[in-house]
Amino acid sequence: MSFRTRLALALAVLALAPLLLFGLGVRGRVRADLASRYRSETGALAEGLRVELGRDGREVEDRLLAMADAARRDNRLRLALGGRAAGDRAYLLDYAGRAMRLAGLSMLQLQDSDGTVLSSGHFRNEFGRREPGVAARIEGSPGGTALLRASAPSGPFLVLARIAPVRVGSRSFVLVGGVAVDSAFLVRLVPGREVGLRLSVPGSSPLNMPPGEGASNDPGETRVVETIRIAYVAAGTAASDAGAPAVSDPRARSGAGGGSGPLAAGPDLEATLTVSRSLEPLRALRRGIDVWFALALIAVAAASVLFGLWLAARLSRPLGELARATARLDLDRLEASFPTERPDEIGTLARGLQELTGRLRAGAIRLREAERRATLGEISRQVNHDVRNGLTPLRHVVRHLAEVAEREPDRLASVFEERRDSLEGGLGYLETLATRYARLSSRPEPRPTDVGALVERTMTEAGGSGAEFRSEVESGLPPALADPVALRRILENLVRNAVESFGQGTGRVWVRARAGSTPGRVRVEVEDDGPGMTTEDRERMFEQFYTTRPEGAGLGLAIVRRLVTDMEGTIEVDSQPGRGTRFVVELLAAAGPEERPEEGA
Amino acid sequence: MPAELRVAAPGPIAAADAPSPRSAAERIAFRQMYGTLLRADCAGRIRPGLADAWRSADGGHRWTFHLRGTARFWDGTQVTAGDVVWSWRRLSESRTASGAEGGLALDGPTLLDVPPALPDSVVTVDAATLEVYYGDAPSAAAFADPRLAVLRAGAGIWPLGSGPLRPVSPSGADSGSLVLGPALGPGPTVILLSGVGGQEGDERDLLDAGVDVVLTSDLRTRRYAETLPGYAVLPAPWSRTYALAVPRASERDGGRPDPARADTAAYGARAESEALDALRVSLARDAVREEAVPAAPLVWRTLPACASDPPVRGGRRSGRPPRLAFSMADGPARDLADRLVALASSPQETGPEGRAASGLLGAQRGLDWRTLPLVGQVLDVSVRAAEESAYIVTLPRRVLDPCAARRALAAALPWLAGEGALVPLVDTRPAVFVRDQVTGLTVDFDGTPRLDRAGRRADGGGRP
Repeated sequence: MSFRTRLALALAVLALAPLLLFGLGVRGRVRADLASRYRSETGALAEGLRVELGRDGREVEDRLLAMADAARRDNRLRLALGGRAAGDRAYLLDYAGRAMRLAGLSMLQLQDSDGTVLSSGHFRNEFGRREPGVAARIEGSPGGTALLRASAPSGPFLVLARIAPVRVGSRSFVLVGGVAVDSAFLVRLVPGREVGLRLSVPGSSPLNMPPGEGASNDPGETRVVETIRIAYVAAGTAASDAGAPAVSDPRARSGAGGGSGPLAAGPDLEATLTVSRSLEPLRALRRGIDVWFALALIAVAAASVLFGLWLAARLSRPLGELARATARLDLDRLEASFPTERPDEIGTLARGLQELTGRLRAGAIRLREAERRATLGEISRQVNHDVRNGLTPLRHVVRHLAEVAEREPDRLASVFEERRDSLEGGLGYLETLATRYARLSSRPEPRPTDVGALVERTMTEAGGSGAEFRSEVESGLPPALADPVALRRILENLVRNAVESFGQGTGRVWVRARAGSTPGRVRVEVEDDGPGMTTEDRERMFEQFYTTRPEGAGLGLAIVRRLVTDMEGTIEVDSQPGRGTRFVVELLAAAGPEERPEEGA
Repeated sequence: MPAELRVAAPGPIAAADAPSPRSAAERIAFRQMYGTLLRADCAGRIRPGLADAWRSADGGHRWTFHLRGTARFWDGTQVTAGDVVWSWRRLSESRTASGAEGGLALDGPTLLDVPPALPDSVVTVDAATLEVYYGDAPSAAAFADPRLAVLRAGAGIWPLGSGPLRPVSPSGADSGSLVLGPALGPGPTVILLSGVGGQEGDERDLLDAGVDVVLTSDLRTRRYAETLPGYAVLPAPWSRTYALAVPRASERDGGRPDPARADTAAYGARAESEALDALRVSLARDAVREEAVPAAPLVWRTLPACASDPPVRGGRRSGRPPRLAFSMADGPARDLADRLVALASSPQETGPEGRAASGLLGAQRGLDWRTLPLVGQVLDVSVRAAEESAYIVTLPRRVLDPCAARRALAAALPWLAGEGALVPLVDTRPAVFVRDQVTGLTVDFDGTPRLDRAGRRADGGGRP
């Protein structure tokens, strides 16, 4: 994980953690506040319903009182009630109907003191029925209002009923009237669809609003908020209930339990108006809060990550630039610079690197100077070494000729002729060497070279050293892509290294030329059965000036490795103490037969 | 004698209905426009109409009529026996196609669909004589049925009639009035105001406007007219009987003898019981908001049976509260249904009439009874199928042919011959208010005024 990623993640976490904590706290507080408000609103709703019912009851009472006043002043009604005008009986029977419609009521009865219906507005032909106790029960109900189950030709219906006394002459009458409690009534009470009402009366199926829903006791669907108790009077059963107390429980009148309003009644004969409110709006509100909270969290998280990435990039960019500039530093490329004007730690680091680069640049100059000087000494020793190598065959020929001149002077001329090529080859080698050094051109010039011929010449020239030489050249060996002079120097150095490894003793040297280990390469092996090398010798044998012989210069194998490397070849060594040494040189083979091989310089 | 007489009656007037009336206004108009072979006066006596002589033979199965020589259509042509045959054939075809109202109630339709006495065969002896044959022998009054009026195809929208008055205006349906003038010779001009009353207007306005003759069933109008000095009430016959029909009376009270079967010998004694009489009095006095009296026995039902009707068992549905059905357009029927249900729901508190009502409907179900208003045609079908527990039905107080009426009753209440009961409750009638100046006004057996000799005196005296 990169520094930038770590930095971005760290910033995101640092930003999100407090935000999440804050959001969760706010969410919980909002939810609790919503629930509290919900409870408060629903409580107020129930209280409002009580007030509304009480107001309806008072409105009914006001209308009944107005009708009672009008009845007292109605002479025709007075005559009809007195039974002194038989012709006005129809007027009496229709009186309640007219008054009910004028007053906007749904139910109206004019009863005498015995509870006999004298005139009925909602049910004109109800006259004569006795309903003793109905008026008393209504009057004794809390607040003087009761839910009355009235009769109609098409069936019973519920009425929010009140009474008003009427005194005509010496007789007392009572007006019983009210407004219908039906679906329309409940709809007027219910402010919204989330509020459900269930009006339950004894002996009848409940009236629900909205229809089919009503108050549910299932806490998963709705929550019952409040139960309002209303005194209930069934007009059809009034006769059998006549002996019952008008109002039962005084505790209900005082508003104990669920009935704090004037409509609370005793438990023995009462209707219940159950108010429920759906939890769905609250749930929806909570879901909305959660959704918006999640969205806000996601947005803040994304912003935090982006800000972290930007900040991490801003912080890591100068470090990356310093790293890239540092990566470009080399002894040969010390021109890199670290310009900065930053006052912070990064600026300090850049300035430190700038100073370090300056010191490196000065050290490199000094190192090159030392190297140049060392190179001059190496060249001197290499020239000395090469010259000595060129002189060795000439010394052998001269020593041979001297021995022949001393022992067989007559064969001197013939021997001279025999060794003349060696002399001329040695001289030519020295001339070429001199030419090369004169040109100070150490880069070999690879071209197709007959490796077999060079091996044979090297074997021939190495003769006389006391060692036994054997050469093997694979037939059909392709020419190598090599500089002939460089290849000859390689072979001569390796052969001389083998011979010199014998010391004062003798040994055998094998030189083999064959195809390489991979196609397109030519392999040359120089093997001896000398004392071999130790591990330390093997590890350091290619170092310059490293030698195990007091007279050695320590340059032979170093030159060999440089020449091989310059010709894009490889050199390997296999040596163990007491088991001889084998050098394996592999060079590129010439590309095609059209390239005529060159034997050597 | 003034030349113009204004008459108001409820219901529309349509030329397409002629000569079979469907409303009170049509009944009055067609009575003046289209003549019948015979006519029945207010006492039910048969009088000559287009026929001046008639006789029956074969126990009433064969009738011979001789047309009056002065019987003429509006265009002055002679009424012939062929015109009678054409008119009856036309009636037969139109009745087959659309049906027609029966009964003689002036103030509205009744349950009975009494078919006109169309003969099985007719022979025209000559231009003025025809013989008709019946399988079911009719009475002579059957030939006073306005549906058997003689008419002829005319050039206008109205078929040519043989009555004393003819339409002067082309149609009364659109304008709300129909002007009738004398067909031949002198006679009054009658402006017939139709479509009044009901929801369309206040009939008291007609009285205030000085209409000469007002036919109404509205008790409010009646009471108002009684306060006006210039009007008198022409006593119309009691035309309608409201009855309680209980399809399966014996099932109530656990199969005990059914007190509701007032029309049967088994219940005969109790039908006259004090409780039932008290109930009828109470209903007529207080419950019905029209002029009503306790129902008298239906005379036409007490006559010997003209045909044997097989008993049919009622088919009231079970499993639901008992309902008392009535025609929603019939005010007295609604009042009676309401009152019976009210009485049956509290029989102990409502005296003998309450006990009678609970006995009729079934006391043990008192609190469960409901009323059920039905549209007229739906009510007819429901009554015939005995779908409900009980019905308030309307029957004609008077019928021209008792046998035909009994057959119609058997068709309307097929279960009546079995376990059902039919208890007459109250009789009602329309009120005919006539201004004091109007003279020469007569009424027929069904209460329909005859205007051809009516007039109005300028001195304001006299009563019809």
